[in-house]
Amino acid sequence: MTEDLEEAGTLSIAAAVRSRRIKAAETAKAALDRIRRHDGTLNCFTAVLAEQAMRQAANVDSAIARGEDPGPLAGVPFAVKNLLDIEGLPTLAGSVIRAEGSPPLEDAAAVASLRKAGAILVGALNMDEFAYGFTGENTHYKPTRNPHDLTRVSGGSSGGSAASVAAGLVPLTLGSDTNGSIRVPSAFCGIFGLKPTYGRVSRRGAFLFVGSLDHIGPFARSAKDLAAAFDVLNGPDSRDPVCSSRPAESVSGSLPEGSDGLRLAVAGGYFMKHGEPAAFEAVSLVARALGTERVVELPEAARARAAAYLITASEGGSHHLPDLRSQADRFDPLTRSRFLAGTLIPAAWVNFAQRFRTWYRERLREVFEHVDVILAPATPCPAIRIGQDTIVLDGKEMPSRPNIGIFSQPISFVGLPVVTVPVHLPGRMPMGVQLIGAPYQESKLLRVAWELQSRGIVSAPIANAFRSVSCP
Amino acid sequence: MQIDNPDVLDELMACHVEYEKALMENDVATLDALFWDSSLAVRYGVSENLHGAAEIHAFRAARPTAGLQRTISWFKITAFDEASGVINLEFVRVLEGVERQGRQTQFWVRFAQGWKIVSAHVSLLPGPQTYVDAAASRIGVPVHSGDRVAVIEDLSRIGTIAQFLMEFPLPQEVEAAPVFQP
Repeated sequence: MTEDLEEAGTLSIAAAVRSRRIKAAETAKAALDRIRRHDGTLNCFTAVLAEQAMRQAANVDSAIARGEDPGPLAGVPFAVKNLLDIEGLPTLAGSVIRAEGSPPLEDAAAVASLRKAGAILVGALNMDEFAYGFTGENTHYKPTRNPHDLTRVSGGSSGGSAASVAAGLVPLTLGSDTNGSIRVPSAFCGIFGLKPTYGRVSRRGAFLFVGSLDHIGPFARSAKDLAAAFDVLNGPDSRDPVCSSRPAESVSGSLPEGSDGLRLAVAGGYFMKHGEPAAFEAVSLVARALGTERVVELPEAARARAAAYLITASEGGSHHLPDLRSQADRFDPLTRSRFLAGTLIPAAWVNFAQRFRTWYRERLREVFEHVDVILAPATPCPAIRIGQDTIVLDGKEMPSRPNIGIFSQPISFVGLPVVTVPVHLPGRMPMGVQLIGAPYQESKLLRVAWELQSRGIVSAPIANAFRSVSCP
Repeated sequence: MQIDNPDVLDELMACHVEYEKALMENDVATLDALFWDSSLAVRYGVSENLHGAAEIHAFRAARPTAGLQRTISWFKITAFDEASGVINLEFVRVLEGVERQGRQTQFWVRFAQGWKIVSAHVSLLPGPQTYVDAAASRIGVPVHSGDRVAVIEDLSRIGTIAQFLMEFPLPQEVEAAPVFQP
């Protein structure tokens, strides 16, 4: 088992630890070794908690020795975006301003859920400052690099969360998604990511970016690993004001049903323009494999993106107002002017955007009366180069950073669950396809993702440069 | 009265070319020479009221010489008989890193010594920076000079996005969801 640990996913590690084929201490040590060896190149981690991880692994091993149930994720090494509270470690959220803050007294809810399930926290992960970015570039802590091409960005804002999984440093991570920050880096790094329904996974202990739009979710290299993580993450939390009261649901058991009985379609109009051919080819490939030619329109998607943009800028700016007043010079130059501009947005625009959100939610509810899963590109292009300021979409040169989210923003705007599945074609950077569902229908998305993976249509191999034995 | 005598228009055109060249090169001597040397001359600038040739000269001599370049986007001369005319023009100029729309009116009179400006008025249209400065001051967020241009550009982009959103005919009865339940 030891030599397979690099390739092993969340569930296979848990199964091996639970059945005593390997000790949690070994799985934790293997992850820490890989992080030591590779993170100097990738820059995924802002903190590695080696001692703490080995202590926790020892606890898991003694529980097993005592014959106790160590939890469904026993011995699974994991790491989290550094906006999630880790007891005793300052929650940076990608900033230097918060490095001086007092460390939290308890773990964020999502971190606690995974630890309670036996998973072992090995560190905190790099991100765009205060989650305001789609590239994983951070001036203070330097960019996280894409394991498939080190000259390219990881995607963001949960850059470290995606790159560390794509390089096989850890099999499971957590990140957050406001406008695409789980889906974009999953796509750029060629792995699976789940943005659950808004309010379905507690955000308690997360340093928020935009409370109206923030979600917490997992990254992994398989659909079933995402499902296993979602099973322990979802459920009510009275201490998160937007958390749904809906009881926790276990979705893992449903995966083998695949796409049977599900009505599938591709998002048309807006989602078929303003992207490079690779984005639409990835969607076509998945749609063909699933045997669907049906196209549905999501009405006014462009305006949904506009509204998400306004709410983000305004809420984000307001959230940071005290620091913008007293120490704006300490913000990352990549976020500073946008946060400042966000504080100056007229209220009438933001109120309109919030009211438009209700209207758009009604239209999408109507769409989902006739369809279960909608396919759309995750990003308009593959991972851009680090420092690349513009992209060309439909022959028009546009600023890269705000436009990477054009296909993800109109979906998170109304909190719909999305699984991003990775499409790898020979000689190309990976692309992601969004599987979009109605609220609370994560299981349907994971079923489709599982089927696509089982049939070899989508996959998340560890990036070649980071395999111990290189693939030809 | 004869309007737009072609010879007079040609002369005023030559005056304009000379004035504009002197302005771009900050040639204060030529600019002074083109103004009426009288206490009755008036020049209203973007942020200064100048009465009399002495004040006009003092202002020109003291003004910073960088960034005077402007691009003329609209231009019209109107001549009245042999001895007077008006030059109106609109221009684009970058001020403190921000592109601004401006306009200028000059009233020219022919004296024994030649054509002179007896009255001039220059102004700038309000731009997004007017809003940024006012709102930032009201909210109490200092926008430092190094960030100002980027903030103005960001807010202009947000304004374009907002305009597109606000064009949507949203029914008045639609309410926002205070705690959003998908």
